[in-house]
Amino acid sequence: MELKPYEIIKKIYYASVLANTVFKAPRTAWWLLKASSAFMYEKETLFNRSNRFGFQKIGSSFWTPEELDAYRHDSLATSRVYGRLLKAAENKTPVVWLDWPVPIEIVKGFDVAAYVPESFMIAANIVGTDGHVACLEAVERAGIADDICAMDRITIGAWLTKQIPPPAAIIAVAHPCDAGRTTNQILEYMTGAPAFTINTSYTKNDEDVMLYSKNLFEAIEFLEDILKMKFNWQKFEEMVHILNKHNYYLNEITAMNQNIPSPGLAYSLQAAWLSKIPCAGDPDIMENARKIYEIAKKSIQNPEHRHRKEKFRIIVADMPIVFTELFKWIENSFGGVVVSDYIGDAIYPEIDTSSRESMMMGVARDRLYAGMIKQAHGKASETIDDLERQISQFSADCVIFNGHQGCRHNRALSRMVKDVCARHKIPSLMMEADIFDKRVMSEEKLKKELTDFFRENGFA
Amino acid sequence: MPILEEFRKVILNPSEFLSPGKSIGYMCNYVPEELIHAAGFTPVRLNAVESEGTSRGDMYFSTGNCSFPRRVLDKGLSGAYGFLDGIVFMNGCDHNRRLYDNWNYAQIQTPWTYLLFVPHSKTDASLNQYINELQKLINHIESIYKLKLSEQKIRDSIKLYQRKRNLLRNVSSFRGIKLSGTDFLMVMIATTVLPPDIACEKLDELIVELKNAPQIEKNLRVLVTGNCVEEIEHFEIIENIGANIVYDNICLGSRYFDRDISMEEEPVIALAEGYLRSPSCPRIMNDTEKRIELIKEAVKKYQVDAVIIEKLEFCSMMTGEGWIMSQEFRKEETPFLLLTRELYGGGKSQIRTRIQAFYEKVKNLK
Amino acid sequence: MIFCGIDIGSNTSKAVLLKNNHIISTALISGISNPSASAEKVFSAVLEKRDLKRHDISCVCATGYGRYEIIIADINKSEISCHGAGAFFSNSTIRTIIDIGGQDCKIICVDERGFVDDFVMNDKCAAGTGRSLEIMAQTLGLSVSELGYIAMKSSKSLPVSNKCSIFMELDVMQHLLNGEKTAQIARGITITTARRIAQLAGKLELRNNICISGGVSKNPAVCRDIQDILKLKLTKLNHDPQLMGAIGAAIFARNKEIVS
Repeated sequence: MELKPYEIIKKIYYASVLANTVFKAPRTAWWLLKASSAFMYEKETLFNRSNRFGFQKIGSSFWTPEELDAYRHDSLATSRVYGRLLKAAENKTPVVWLDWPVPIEIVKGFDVAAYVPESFMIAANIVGTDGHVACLEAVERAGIADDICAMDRITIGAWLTKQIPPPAAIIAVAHPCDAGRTTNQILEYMTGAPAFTINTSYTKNDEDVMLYSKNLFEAIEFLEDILKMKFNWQKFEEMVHILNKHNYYLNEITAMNQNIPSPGLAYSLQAAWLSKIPCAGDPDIMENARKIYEIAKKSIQNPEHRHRKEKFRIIVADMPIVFTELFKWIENSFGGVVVSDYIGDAIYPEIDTSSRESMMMGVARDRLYAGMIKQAHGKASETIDDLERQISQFSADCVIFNGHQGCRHNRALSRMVKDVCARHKIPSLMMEADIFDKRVMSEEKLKKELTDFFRENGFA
Repeated sequence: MPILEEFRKVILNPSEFLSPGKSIGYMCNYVPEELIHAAGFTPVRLNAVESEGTSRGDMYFSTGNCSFPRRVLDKGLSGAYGFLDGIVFMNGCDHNRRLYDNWNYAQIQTPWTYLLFVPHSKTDASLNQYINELQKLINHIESIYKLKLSEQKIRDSIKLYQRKRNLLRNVSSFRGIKLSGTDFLMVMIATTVLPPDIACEKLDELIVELKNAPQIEKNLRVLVTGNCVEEIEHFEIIENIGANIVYDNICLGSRYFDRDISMEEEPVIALAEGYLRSPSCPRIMNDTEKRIELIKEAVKKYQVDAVIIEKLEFCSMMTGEGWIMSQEFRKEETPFLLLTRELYGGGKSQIRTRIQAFYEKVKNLK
Repeated sequence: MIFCGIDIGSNTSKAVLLKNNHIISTALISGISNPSASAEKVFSAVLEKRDLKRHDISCVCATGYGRYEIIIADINKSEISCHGAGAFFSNSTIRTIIDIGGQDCKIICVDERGFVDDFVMNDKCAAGTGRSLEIMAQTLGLSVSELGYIAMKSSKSLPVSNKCSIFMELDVMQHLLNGEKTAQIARGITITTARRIAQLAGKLELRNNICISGGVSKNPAVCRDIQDILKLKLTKLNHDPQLMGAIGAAIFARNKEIVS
């Protein structure tokens, strides 16, 4: 598949504008999706090749009209990010790239387009089945070894295939993973842009988070210097207030997911995680979370309204994002409800808004609690304790742990994870698929492994 | 040279040369040995030399992890590091960070372990952070052994280690003339295990012997770069096909000895500056350009014909670094070979083919 | 003077005799595990064809994975240099050689003298080599040549993992279980093999003209997919592409004799 310059971000922009328009009439949209599901859902065909993943991203016809109405806000926020990016590409105004664990608020306080190259991976999925593969292949053709995380390789591929405008500056992080670090070094080399590296904290203790937040202040100074602009502290404060509210709803949805039966909104939380990376501080993603929160509340108050009976409860780590409908497929085929996944699970602490310093510490800590970073930073106990907590809090019946090929720290923990599950007397499945590269394990093979696992353990 | 045989014996059985209960393990280059030595212990660099495989290590790690920590863990599980009184691990990379976790989880009988967090850049903020982390390590050692690491003790250790590094620099300068790169690697492995005073004595002896030694056969002049290279057999392949390793840019080489610690400053600050701001390994960000510049300078200084870039399979950091190096060497028209391997991982004939073909290519280009 | 080149590969052993810059005899045998015994056998075979004796040969050069163990060889050269020299001998317009052997694949660039000036070789993983094609063909119940022939017939392909041979095999088995068409699976395999090679090709600059050597060069479907994916046109060699290593070795045997 050959990509035209900016093809992917253009498509994500138009797709999100379209979603925002169509979902204004959520019930009609629901019927439309339902009608097209026969062509779009189960299997890839020539007809649905370029739109199938986009279709899945908007709920694969499984979402209720209420959920579509909520998702409209996510689409709106997403269209803003990509619209601004396209404009910046057109007018050649500055774009700041930032590594996904960097709080985006420190860039959005400037009047520039802020862009998280890693979030491009999701966009690449939406553009079509092979959007991300085209990027991966471009990286392979450039001779870069495939032993780093596919998300990072897609990011590099995006640059190689001219999908993202050149950066005026890059803000990178040194932790939580080697792949991110090495990717930033490659991108800095390829683009020649000035770069600043933040030493992300290895622990969540105050002393380390304080040092991390000092790095964020330094990054702002660095950007002021490069962009010749002043940071807008008032805007920053507004975004932190929105973030607090946003986090409140996400935390509440997570807590409600613990209910038996669960509202089964882990998928929505995952989607919220995806949109929070490039859109944190946007009032619309908060609105999305608020509406999902209302749906969760309603579901708990009226469990009889749930269309499927909950037979068993699952915790999922790193389910391939490229096969996004899998949560719902599991639910429909086996009655298994994904009650929590590593990415969406939200336990964000409230940010103290009394001073700039406390707010900066707050956003720093917030990202340490974001899915993936939450588990990947520091010692193994960060992952293992979190898993133990989730198993207990969500009354899980099984754990599905995906390999995530390029995630080296995670792959070093397989024994510990298995033992945690054994201690809790629940079965676990260790899979070798890749969260971001569909070529590693096919969708069919993945579904077969899941089916076998559920059957062997008496869930199906 | 008879002294080389002594170094070989150290590698085969390090505990014989160490006082019982007086050794603390460490890995890797950003753990200041001086702090361990100042507490009255011999810092012993963990390595996978003489490891028997990865099967025990693989019970904890996955096969998608680097062969180095898998082998070191395997060695630990075999009891080969039973003589250590404690270990200071560090967050060198994701694999090695998890070596600390798996070492503890596997309940290897080491009295204590510690994970030192080292920042990933050379900025002032990072330096302060590193000083802070070193202070935490000092507090940890002091509380375990109920002792005080006085400034004077640390200074004495700095002096001794500076002498060792200077001696290693001296020995290194004989590479390609009177000493093979393979033998130098052996010296490096042995001297990062031996008590520093004994290491210095032996290095003194080696220098005397080298002065009287005959010249080695002239061959292609090769520089080896990468991160974790400790297999003597691998260096033998590189040299036996027709090359001399005249310089290196690896952790068990110039990155270890090309480091000066100031005697003027407050010792912990001096250590932090010396360790963080000396030639870095790819874990340090925003420093790639300098690292490559350093290699380019060495290529000129040591009249290097070709560069071998060593990468261990699954090493994310060398993926980026190796690729950037390749681009730069191509621009400079410096012949290079990017070699991916597993530590003691076999595939000898394929590696030999690549190296031989590479030398044939370099000769064709001359 | 007659010069001999012997190429001990992982699946087959080849020998070539060179006289006055002409190939006067060739031999190819398969299925012997010991490199030394293979060399003896293929050497005898190539001599026998022209009724020659060992002492008629001025210099023997060995190449291939078993080159170090061959007692009858006077010198040895890497198979990379030999494939480069062999292909250049066969067609002097060649500048890039894609060699897909039993256990490895390499891409070799040669200069206007036929000397290697750049190359890349796959890592230890077998995916994209002749061996992996053999495993996949076996899984489908076909021979390698049948796999190539069947894949040629299909314009559609099914996804097959490019990660490693084990993953590839699992995908092929899964497709079989699902009752998919063999031709589409076979095409998936050849496309994945070509993709692996394209991945390798990214590490250096391919120069025209380009040819394929090694056993897999006889697989038409892989050749077609390589051309499609890498967007290039392959140039034909004037000799059996499987003999390039041995031809190159014979050239080095001749060069050695000339130099000394």
